[in-house]
Amino acid sequence: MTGSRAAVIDRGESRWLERARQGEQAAFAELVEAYQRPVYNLCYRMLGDPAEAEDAAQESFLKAYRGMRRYDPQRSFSTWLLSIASHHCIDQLRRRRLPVDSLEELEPWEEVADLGPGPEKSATLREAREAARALLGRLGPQDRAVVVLRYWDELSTEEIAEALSLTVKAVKSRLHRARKQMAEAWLRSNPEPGWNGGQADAASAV
Amino acid sequence: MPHQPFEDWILGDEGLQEDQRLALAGHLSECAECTRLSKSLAAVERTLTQAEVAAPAPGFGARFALRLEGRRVRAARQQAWLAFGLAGAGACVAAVPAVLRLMEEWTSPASMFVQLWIRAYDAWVGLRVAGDFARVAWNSVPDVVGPAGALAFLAACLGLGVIWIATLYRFAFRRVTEGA
Repeated sequence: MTGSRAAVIDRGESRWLERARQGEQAAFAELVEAYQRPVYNLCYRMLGDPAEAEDAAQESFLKAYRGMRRYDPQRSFSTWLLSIASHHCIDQLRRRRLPVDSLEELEPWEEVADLGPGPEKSATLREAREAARALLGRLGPQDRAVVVLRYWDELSTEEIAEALSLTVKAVKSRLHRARKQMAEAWLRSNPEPGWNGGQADAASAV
Repeated sequence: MPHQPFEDWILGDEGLQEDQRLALAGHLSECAECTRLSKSLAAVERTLTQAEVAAPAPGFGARFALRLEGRRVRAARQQAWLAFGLAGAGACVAAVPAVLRLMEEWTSPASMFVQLWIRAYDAWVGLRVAGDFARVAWNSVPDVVGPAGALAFLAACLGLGVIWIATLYRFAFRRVTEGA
């Protein structure tokens, strides 16, 4: 998770940014290489489909390329880029408008290229991926974007507000609501007492 | 049993003060509902943080470059069609007075064809006369203004041509080459 953001910030990107702002495509290609993973991950978590995520990520980079001259270098490039991707995905979800009524009704998570771990770890990752997808599927587009930016991109409340053009108060409210929805959904799908085998004690959530 | 503010503390994103933490721990020891919510949220957060950052298939950058190029070509085509359409529309607008004038002379379909034929013939004759005039003028320019004047005239014509091409580039093509 932490690889999404920290890895791409300290790469001497200011030089690429400056050149990309002057219209140099090669410099923008470097930015694409550096940021493809967080942007793709955001789109993947938002849309829940690898093909749609690829398309959304590509479109987000295209929008960024067109808008490079409008980019304010005083702002964080990653926040600006994730903002573009978030808005694109929110628009896609609003167009799609597929309601999800229960965790069980979700389609199986499509496989993405598994790049390494052995069978056991792969199975664990796949389970986590499907569970995460099911949880996110409960949320509305903007709430989903808030959760993805918070948990995967580790943006602060202020950065999420900037990325989604919301107030800080609205972000807190959406995060609160999303957590409640996800926790309640989890409770509904795991109703029996002691379902988590004591893995998560109360203190860890506080 | 009241669940507030404990529920907000459980679901909130901000850290708790020590006294709030103690109060919440005390509440959780007595309230099964908030305990379930707290455990459930912990499980949710663990699930979200366990799900790895998804990576695109290899070659994302190359696919982006292809898409960018495709968009450029498409934008260039759209712009060319737009320029073509605007030129056609302008020609149609410019032709309206001529058509109206011609229509005044048309009394039947046959007369329309005769008039069109006459106009076309007039236009052809006019072009020939203009061509003859240009040729004579071109041949006589050095006699009238001298070789230097002829060169200046040629340079002026070339300059106008360059300005025309630069204008076309500036207003019709530059946006496309800058990347759509």
